[in-house]
Amino acid sequence: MAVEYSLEFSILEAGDDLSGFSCRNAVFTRYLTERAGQDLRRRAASVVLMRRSGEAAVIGYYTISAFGIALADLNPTMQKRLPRYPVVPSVLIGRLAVDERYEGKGLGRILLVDALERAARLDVAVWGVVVDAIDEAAARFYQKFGFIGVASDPNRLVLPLQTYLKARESR
Amino acid sequence: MVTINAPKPEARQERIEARLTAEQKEIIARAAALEGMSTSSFVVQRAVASATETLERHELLRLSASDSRRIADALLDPPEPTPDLVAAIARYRTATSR
Repeated sequence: MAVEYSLEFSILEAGDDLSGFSCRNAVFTRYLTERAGQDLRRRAASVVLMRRSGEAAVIGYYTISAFGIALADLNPTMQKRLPRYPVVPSVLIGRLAVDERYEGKGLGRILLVDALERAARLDVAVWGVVVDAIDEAAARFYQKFGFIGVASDPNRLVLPLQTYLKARESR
Repeated sequence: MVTINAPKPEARQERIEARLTAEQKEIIARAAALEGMSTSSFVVQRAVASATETLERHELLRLSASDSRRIADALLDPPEPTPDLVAAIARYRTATSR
């Protein structure tokens, strides 16, 4: 289960070779090999690639984009305590996938931590991290790390960024 | 006397073509008839509504009142990290030598 090699992360750039990436879920493979470049040009989302240090092959990726959590009907006291109401500044991790040849090594959680770390380092204030879970197994994966499910959108879960910052301090 | 002309509705000049089965077309035609609309207007109205919703979903998570309270509570008083999150951060640091 332990990762016995070092990993590197970089934002997708024009010219990156993505053709070798293959994920058990074909939607995630096709996104990276066919559509990620478009999103990059349209600046719709940043795509972050994971590689073994010094190697060209991409073994995992996630997307991250500016996002908002729209709250409704909160009492005025709570409204005032929030940085912005009704839309709380957040980021969306829309896709997160590991190459099928690298499954079962705990690389998904390493991708997730890199995404949280990136959100924490943004110069704009981010309060929430939202993830899209493709199925129940994915939702359970995110729940293990503290993500909270919402009935309003069963495929999405939310983690307060502060919870990640607390985790980062506790060694 | 000053008269103000109401803005003209934007002319519908664009076309879109789509292939569908006879059965699909029949379902749409029946639904459009029930709403008192032409098939064409019905298809356009519904497609635009659905597209708008899809676009919004890429930018926003809209919460109900009860979800809003739960999530606002969590944002203002962040839950303690789970052991799995703390362990994942340690693994991340090892793997990225941070």
